[in-house]
Amino acid sequence: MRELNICHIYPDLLNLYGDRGNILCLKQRIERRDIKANVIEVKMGDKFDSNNADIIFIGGGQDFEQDVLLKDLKGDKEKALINAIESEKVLLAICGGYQMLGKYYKTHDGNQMDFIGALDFYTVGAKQRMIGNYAFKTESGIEIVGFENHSGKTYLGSGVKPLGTVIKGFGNNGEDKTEGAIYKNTFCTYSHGPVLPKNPEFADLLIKKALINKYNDDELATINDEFETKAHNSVMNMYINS
Amino acid sequence: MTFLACLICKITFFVLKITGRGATTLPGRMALKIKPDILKKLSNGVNIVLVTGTNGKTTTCRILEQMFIDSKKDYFLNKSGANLITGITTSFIMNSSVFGKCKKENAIIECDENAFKKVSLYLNPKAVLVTNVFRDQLDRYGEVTHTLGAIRESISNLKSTTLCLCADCSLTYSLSRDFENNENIKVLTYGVNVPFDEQSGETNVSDAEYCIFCKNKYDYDYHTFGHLGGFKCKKCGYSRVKPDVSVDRIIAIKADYSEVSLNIFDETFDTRVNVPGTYNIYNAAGAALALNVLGFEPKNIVKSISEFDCAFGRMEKFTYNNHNINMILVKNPAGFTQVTSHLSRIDNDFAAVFCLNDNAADGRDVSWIWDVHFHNLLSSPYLKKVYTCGKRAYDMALVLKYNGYDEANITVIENEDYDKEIEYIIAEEKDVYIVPTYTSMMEQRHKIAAKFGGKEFWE
Repeated sequence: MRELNICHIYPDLLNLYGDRGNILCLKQRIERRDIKANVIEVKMGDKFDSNNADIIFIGGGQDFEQDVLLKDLKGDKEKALINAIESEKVLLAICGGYQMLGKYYKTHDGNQMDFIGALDFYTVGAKQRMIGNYAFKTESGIEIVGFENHSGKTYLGSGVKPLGTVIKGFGNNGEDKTEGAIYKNTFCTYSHGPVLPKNPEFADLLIKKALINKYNDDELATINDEFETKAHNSVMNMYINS
Repeated sequence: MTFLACLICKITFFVLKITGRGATTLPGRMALKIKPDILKKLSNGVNIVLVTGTNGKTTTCRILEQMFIDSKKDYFLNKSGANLITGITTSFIMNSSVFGKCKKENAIIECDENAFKKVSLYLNPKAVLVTNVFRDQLDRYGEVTHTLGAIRESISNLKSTTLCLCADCSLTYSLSRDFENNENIKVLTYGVNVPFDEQSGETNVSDAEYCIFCKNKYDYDYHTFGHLGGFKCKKCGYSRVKPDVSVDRIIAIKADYSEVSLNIFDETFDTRVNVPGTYNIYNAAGAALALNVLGFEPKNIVKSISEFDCAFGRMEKFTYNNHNINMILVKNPAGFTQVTSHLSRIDNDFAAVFCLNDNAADGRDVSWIWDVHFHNLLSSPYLKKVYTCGKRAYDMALVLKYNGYDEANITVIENEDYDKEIEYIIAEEKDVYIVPTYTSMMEQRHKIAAKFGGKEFWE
């Protein structure tokens, strides 16, 4: 029986906006294909063994908890994460978790917080929060709907590509129509919602990439996605195409 | 100016009422336009108890109200949901003469956490009860520390008061430090000294795992629900204190009520808390403390706690052909988890209807439903069928599906069709629990009440 390990980084700290729904979604979508799914939680102070991880997930968090986390991140975890990203592990990072993979976050009054710099982008704090339902389309044509809620404006460097182009909403910075970032098998987005349940095609893309990495075979059985598709379409109809 | 403001407010209220609409905020808004500080005059000489915090405000106010009713005191209470400065102003004016003299001796004021900042500039409550601070709709309130900051700022606006704080909430109790050297602000506490049963202690996420002062992880002697319980920070020493009013023992938790041993300044009473849901034990303890501050006798307080009825909408019961149709409002993950925990204890067949809207008052971002704990409810053998309704009915269906509920047992009611919902409820021929968010409740309640009995809430 095939088996995938989902590694949830900082479930104790980065647990805002229902992002754990992504873990529930990945797990169930894997299991419905008769593949065993294990969820491994890597909390503060835990050791992170990226060799064991097939899909790594990092969610968003409250600002208050971010400095607690940065202390823990520096050192072993930072190395393991960079190593996982470079070795093409599948990784999904949302909002605060996304920003953390970049070079730094500069607040609007000039304070700079250095992050792990695994990906070539940086984030600058804006006064106005970017909040609302939004949608974007990936290069491969997957349409993704979600809810964004961030004050950081992210600007991509030449070393990464955007995950998609904004259809409606702010995306990375509200200026250049880019949303998220993609580098090797690392997918970053501002999309809460949580993003995966309403975007099953995107969820399956992550699962397929993980299966190729591990088994060199990305065959995935079709499953009933009626609720998923209708949830996706209803947001598109109410907020994006209106 | 006061006269004009009051007059216009009263006329607006009257017009809205005879045209059959709820008139809770618009009249106050008009009065405030004419005289922004009108609350100061209106509240002059009134004995005020103010209740704020994320969860439990309405129920707590209802318990306080019961005490005023039982002791035949003259009082008024602002209507549930009308807890912003506009609604509070409407309530004061409707209880005052047209010259702005309040006709009631006492006022129970439910106040939104953020609205408290403005309200605190004009009112001078004798007691302020802060129930708790939980994550609420994040797009509206921001992070919990933001909510806490709003409450802190409001309290520092007050000339003098007695603060009644939940000792078990590390966020709320942290306010005690802000005012420890302020001789005009007296701090008293209430709490629960023992864990609730395992079921209600389960939550997915804690809203406060790390010390608010030094960011070290808290240790807990016990949990009640969410982040509430016997917290202590080993690093800086910030920890729960023994409360002035406490629940020392949970005697029984039933489907319709709880029985607890309540200690009010070292006098102990075994009492019934006449509303279901373990979280209401906190509301009862908080109310007991505030009532004590207002000068009520402990034995009378306990009597009122054991006798009061449910607040509007928070949990409301209708009947149809000998089946109970219950409606329970949900607003945030902690409250919703308490509701699922309550439903999981029911031991006769029932169906549930979850109604999710994403209007401003519900929170535009619906992701919070993924922080709710559904496991116990969805594995209950008595839960026979689930419906979802509201603008985001499919989001609701997905939460249930990915929490493991068989999708074949979920019916999605599209287009906010509450007539269809009523058809399904009737066809169930069993007890039904309707669990809506705020605006969904407002949209359907008149239909539910018309079909299954019950009066409109603004009457």
